[in-house]
Amino acid sequence: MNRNNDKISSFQLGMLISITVVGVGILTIPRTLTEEVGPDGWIVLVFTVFLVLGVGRILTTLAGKFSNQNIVEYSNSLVGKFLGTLINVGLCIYLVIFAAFELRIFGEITKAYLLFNTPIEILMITLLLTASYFARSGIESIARMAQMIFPFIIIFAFIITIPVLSELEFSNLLPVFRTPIYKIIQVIPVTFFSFVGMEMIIVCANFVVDPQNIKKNIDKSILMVAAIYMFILIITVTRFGIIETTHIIWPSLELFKTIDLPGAFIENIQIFVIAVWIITVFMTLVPLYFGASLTLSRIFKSKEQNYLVLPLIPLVYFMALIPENIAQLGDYSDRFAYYLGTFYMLILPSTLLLITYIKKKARRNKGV
Amino acid sequence: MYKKILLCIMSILLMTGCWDKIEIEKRAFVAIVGIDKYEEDKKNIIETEEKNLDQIKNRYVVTVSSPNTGLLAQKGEGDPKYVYSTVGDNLEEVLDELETRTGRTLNFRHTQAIVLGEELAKDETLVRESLDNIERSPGVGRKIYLMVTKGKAQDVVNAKIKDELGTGLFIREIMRRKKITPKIPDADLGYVLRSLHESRAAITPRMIVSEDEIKVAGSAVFKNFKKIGWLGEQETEKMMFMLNKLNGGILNTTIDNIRIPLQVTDSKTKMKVYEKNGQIYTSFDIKVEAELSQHLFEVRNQPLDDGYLKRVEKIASKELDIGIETLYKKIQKEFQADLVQSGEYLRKYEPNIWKRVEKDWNEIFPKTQVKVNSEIIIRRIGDTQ
Amino acid sequence: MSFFDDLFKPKEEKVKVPIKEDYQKNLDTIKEILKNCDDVIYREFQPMKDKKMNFAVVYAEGISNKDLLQEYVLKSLMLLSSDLLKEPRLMKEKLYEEIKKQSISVADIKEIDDMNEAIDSILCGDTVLIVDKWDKFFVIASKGWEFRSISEPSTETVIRGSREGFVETLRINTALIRRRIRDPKFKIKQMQIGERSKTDIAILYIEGIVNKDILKEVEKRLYEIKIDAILESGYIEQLIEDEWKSPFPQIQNTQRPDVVSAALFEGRIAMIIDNTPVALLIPATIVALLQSPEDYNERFLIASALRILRFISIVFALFLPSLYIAITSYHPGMLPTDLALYVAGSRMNVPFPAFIETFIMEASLELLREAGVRLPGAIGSTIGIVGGLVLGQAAVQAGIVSPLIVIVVALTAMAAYTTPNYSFAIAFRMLRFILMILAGIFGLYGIILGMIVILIHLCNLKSFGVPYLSPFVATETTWKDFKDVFIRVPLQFMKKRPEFLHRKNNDRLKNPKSAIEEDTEDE
Repeated sequence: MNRNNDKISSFQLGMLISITVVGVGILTIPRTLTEEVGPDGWIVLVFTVFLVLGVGRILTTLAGKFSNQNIVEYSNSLVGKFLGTLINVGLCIYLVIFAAFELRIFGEITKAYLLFNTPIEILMITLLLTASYFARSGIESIARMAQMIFPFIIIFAFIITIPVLSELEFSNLLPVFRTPIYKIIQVIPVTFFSFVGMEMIIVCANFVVDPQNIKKNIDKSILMVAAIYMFILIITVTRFGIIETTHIIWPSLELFKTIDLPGAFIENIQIFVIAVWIITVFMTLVPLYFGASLTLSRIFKSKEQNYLVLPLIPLVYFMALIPENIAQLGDYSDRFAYYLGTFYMLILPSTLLLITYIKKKARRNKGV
Repeated sequence: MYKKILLCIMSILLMTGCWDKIEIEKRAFVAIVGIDKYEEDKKNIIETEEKNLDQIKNRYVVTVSSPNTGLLAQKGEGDPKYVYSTVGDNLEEVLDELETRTGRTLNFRHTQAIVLGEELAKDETLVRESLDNIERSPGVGRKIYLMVTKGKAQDVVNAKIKDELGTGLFIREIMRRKKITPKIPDADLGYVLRSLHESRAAITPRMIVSEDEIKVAGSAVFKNFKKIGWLGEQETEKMMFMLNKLNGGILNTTIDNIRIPLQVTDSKTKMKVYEKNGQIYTSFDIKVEAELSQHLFEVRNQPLDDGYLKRVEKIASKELDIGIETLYKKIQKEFQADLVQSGEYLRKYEPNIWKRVEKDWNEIFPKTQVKVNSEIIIRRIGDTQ
Repeated sequence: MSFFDDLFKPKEEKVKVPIKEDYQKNLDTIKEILKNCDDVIYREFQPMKDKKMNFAVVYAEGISNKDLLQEYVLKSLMLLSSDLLKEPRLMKEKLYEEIKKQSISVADIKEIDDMNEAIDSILCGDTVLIVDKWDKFFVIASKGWEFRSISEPSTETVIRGSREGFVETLRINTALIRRRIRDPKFKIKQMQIGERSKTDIAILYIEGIVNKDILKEVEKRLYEIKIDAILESGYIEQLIEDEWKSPFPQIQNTQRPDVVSAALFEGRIAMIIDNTPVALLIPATIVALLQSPEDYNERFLIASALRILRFISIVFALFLPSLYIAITSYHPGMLPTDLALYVAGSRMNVPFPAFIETFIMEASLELLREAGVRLPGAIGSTIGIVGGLVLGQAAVQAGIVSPLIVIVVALTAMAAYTTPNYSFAIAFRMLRFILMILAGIFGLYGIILGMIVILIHLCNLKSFGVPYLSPFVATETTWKDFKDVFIRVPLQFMKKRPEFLHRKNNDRLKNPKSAIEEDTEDE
C-alpha cells in the first residue's frame, strides 16, 4: 500500500497555490487598487493577471526542469554551495516572515471584529499551534485540505454576496480608462504583490506525481484567484463607491456589514464571514509554514521535515509581534513584499532558469 | 514533548480564558441612541457629578434605551424599556459612563437608530466627531438610521410608545414601511455616510416627537457636516423621486374639482447632467406607474375612459414636474447643497466637464438649470368604473 | 483450500502429533487432552461379529448434529453394513475404504492423521470416528447447533428493503450473501484467528472488482494479529484499523447482508466473523458511513433529499450546542434583533452561564441515552419520556435552564440519530463536547479552531490506504464519485463503480457479454 506522505497531484498543487495566494490579498486589494487608480482598478488587475501568468510559467518551467528535486537541492547545484545556501536560508526566512505577517493580520482582524478583549497573543498562538500541528502532517494532508477548502470558500463567497447584488451601483466603476497608461504600469506592482505566495510552486513542485499537468493547473489556479479578486474588487467598488472604498481599512469585510438577512436565522453575517475567512488565512499560513520547515530540513539535509516545525514556532510568533500597530504592519509588509517578494517570485526563478539554459548549452557545446 | 507543551498551553488557556465572554442577559441591547448637545442651564439633565468638582467640559448628552427583554420572554415585569442618560466630553467617555450606570455591557449591534438633537446637528464639530465615531466602531451596522429630531433627542428616546418595547424597535417597524410612504426618506446610515463623503451633503430622516407618539416624516438636510434645513413631507417625497428611491406613495391631483389620489406602484427616475451652451443642465426623466384608487361616488364612465385617464395623467405629471422643479430650486437657493449628487454624476459620466467645474462646484451648482420630464401611466382603476 | 493451507503454514507452530495405530491409546490421548470437558461424548462400539474391531465416535454435544450421527453413521455402521463388516478377510486398508465408500452416508467426510487437528475438529462440532488398528481418523462434518433465526436487525432498520439481518453463525451469514451474489468470482476465504478461541473469519470479495492491493493489505494485517480470543468483530476492527487514536471508525460495520452485498459490488471487502452478527466492510470512507441502504431503494429525488438532510443533520449534531454557546456568550450580534432580545429575555435569571447550562443538558442527554440502551425495551422508552419530557420541563420551570437550550439539545439529539452508522454518530457526539469547550473559551473562533483540527485529523486519516475523505480529497480527479455523495443520481447514470478504490473493472451497467470479457481480461 502506498503510505508515503509526499504525493500530491498537480490539481492539488494548484488548489494549494490558490488558497495560499488568496488569504490576505482578498482583504486589501480593493482598497490599495482604488487608492491608486480609482475606478480603473479592474484594468490594472487584468494587466497584472497576464504578468502573473508569465511569472507562473517561469516558476513552473523551473520546477518542471527539476521535477525530482527540491529548490534547495537544485539551487545548490546551479549556483554553488555557498550562494545556494545563502539563497535557501533567505528563502526560509522569507517564508517565516511571510507566515508571521499572515499571522499578525489574522490577529488584528480577529481582534477588531470577533474577540475585542482577548489578547492578540493568545489568538495568534492558538492559531500558530494548530498550524504547526498541521504542518507536521505533511504535504499530502495540506494539499487535501486545500483541495477541500478552496472550492468551499469560493462557493461560500459567491452565495454570501448574493444579498449585496441588489444594492450595487455599477455607475461607480465610471469613468473608465481615465487613468493614464504610465500610471497603470506604475500600479501593477502593487497588485502583483497580492499574488505573493506563488513561489510555493517551486517549494512544493517536486511532490507532484504528474508534473506534465502542472502548467495547466497553475494557470487555472491563477485565473481562479484573479477571478475572485476581480469579483471582490467590483462588488466592493460598486457597493461603496470610490471614496468610501479607500476610506475603509478592510472594505471586503465592511461589505458584509451592509448586509441584513431579514428573517434569516443569522441576521448579521459579517461575523460569520470572518469566521470563514479565518479558515482561509489558516490555509495560507500552513503552506508557508510548511515550506519554511521543509526548506530548513533540506538545508540540514534531514529527511524528516516535521522535527523542524517546532523550533519555528517562537520565530514566527515573535516576528509577528514586531509591528506596533496596523499602520506599521502595512508599512513593513509593503517593503517586505517589494524587496524579498520580487526577489523570490521573479528574480530568483528567472535567474535560475537562465543558468539552467546556459549550463545546458555549455554542456551541449562541450559535447559537440 | 510536543504534547506536553500543548497540554501546558491548553491548561493556561482553560484557566485564564473567556476574555470576551459576556452572557447574553448581561448585555444591554441598545435599541436607540439619542445624542444631544450639552447645554449648561437646562435642568432636565440628570447629573450625578457635583458641578464644582467637574473639571471636564461636558459637550454631549447621550441617552440610550434598551428594551426590557424579560417582558418579551414573559419572565419579567416593569417598564418596557430602560432609559439611561448621561453627559460627557466625548462619546466614548459617555458610553463608558453609561456602562457603569447600567451595570451591563452595551451592545450596539442591534441598534436601530441614532437620533441627533437639532442643536447638536447644527454644530459641525460635534456632528463630525459623532459620525466618525459611528463609522469607526466595528459594532455598528450600516443598515441603521441616522435621524435628526426637532428639539431634543432625549425626548425621542424617552417617548412612551404603546405596544412596542421602546422607541428603537418602534422605529424599526416604521422604517420597514418606508416602501409604502415616501414621506419617510429611504436613507440609511450607509447612504448618509457615503453621500457625505462624496458630495458633503445628505438628507436624513426627520423625527417628530409629541407626548406619547413619535413620527418619522420629512427629512433634515446636511451640508458640510451640519444640518442646514428641513425638507417637508411633500418635499421629501419629491426628493425620493429625484434620487430614484421611490417605490410607493400617493400622488394627489385635482381634475374638474375632483381630488384624485394616485397610488404609485412603480417609479423609475433617470438623472442626467449635461452641458449645453455653457450652461449645465440637470434633467430628470421620471416614469411612474400608478393606480387610480379613488374617484368620486356616482360619477359614471369617467375612469374607464382612456381620454379621461390621459388627461389625469397629464395633469398629475405636470404637477409632479412643478413640484420637483420647485424643490430643486429650493435646494439650490436655500441650501446650496448638491443633494441629488449631480457632481458625482458628472465625475462618472462627464469627466471632462467635471475636471473643469470640480473646484468651484459649490458655486456652479446653484446656477444649474433643471428640466423635469415625468410620465405617469395609470395602469389600474380598481373594481368600479 | 490450498491457499488457505499456505496461509497458515508460517503461523502453525504446533507440533504435529501423529496418530498411532493403537485404538485404546488414541482414545486415551483424546480423553487426556479433553479431560474435564464433559460436553464431549465418547461412544465406543464393536459392529463386527467377532467384536475384535473397536470403533468409537467422539463429538461435542450441543454443537454437533446428533441426528445425523445416529442415523447415518452409527446406524449404517452397526446395522446396515454389518454384513459388509462381517467379512474378516477384508484387509485393513480395504476396510477403511469400504467404510468410507459404502457405510457412512454423510456428505462431508475426510481422513486426518494429526491428533491436534482431531481435537480442533471435535471442538468445532465435527465428529471423529476412531477405527481400530489404523493410524488415521475419520472426521465427519456434523456441525450443527441451535442458532437464532434470521430476523430484522435492531439497528439500521429500513422502511423499504430486505428485513434479513445477520445471525451469529458464520456459515449462515455467508449463505445470506451468496444468495445475493451468484457469481463464481465471489470468493469467501476463511481463516481462524485466536490462539484459544479459534474464531472463524471469512474474507469476502468479488474477484476482478476488488482492489488487490487493499485485499493483500487486509490479509497481511489479519496475519499479524496475535490474540487469544476474538469475541466480536470489534476486536478485529480495532486490531487492524489504521489509526487507533482516532474517534472515527475506519471500518464500517453492518448487520445487513444487503449492505454487505452492495459494498462487495462496489469493490470493497467484507469480513464476517463467527459468533457475531456484525460484519465489517473495508475500506470505509466518510461518505459510505453516511449512506443508508434505502438511498438506493428509493427514487433518486427522495433519496437525494434525504441524504442532504443527513449531511445537514450531522453538521447540526456537531455544531449546534457550541454555536448556541458562542452566540449567547460571545456574538449576540449574529442573531436577528427579535431573536436576540428573546434569547436574552429567556435566559434572564438563569444562574448558569450558557456554557455550563449547555454542558449540563448535553451530558444529561448522554446519560439518558446510555440508560435507555442498558434498560430493557419497555423501560428504556419510559426512561426516554421521563428524562426527556419531565426533566426538561422541570428544569425550565425551575428556571435552572432556559427553554431555548432544551430545544437546542433536543434538536442535536435528533440530528445525531439520523446518522445510519452508530459508531460514526457516536464519534460526532463525543467531538461535540470538545467543540463546546472551545466555544466556551473563544466563541466562534474556538469553533472554527476545533473544526480545523477535526478537518486536519480527517485529512490525515486513511482507511487501508484510501483517504477517509474520499472523494473530496482524492489525488486523482474523482469528480464522478460526487454522483453519490450529496445527491444520489438516478441509477441509470451510475454506470461506473466508485472511483476511489482504483480498480480495473469499473463498469456497473453494461451489456453482460462484455462484462464476462472484461472479467477474464482482468485475471
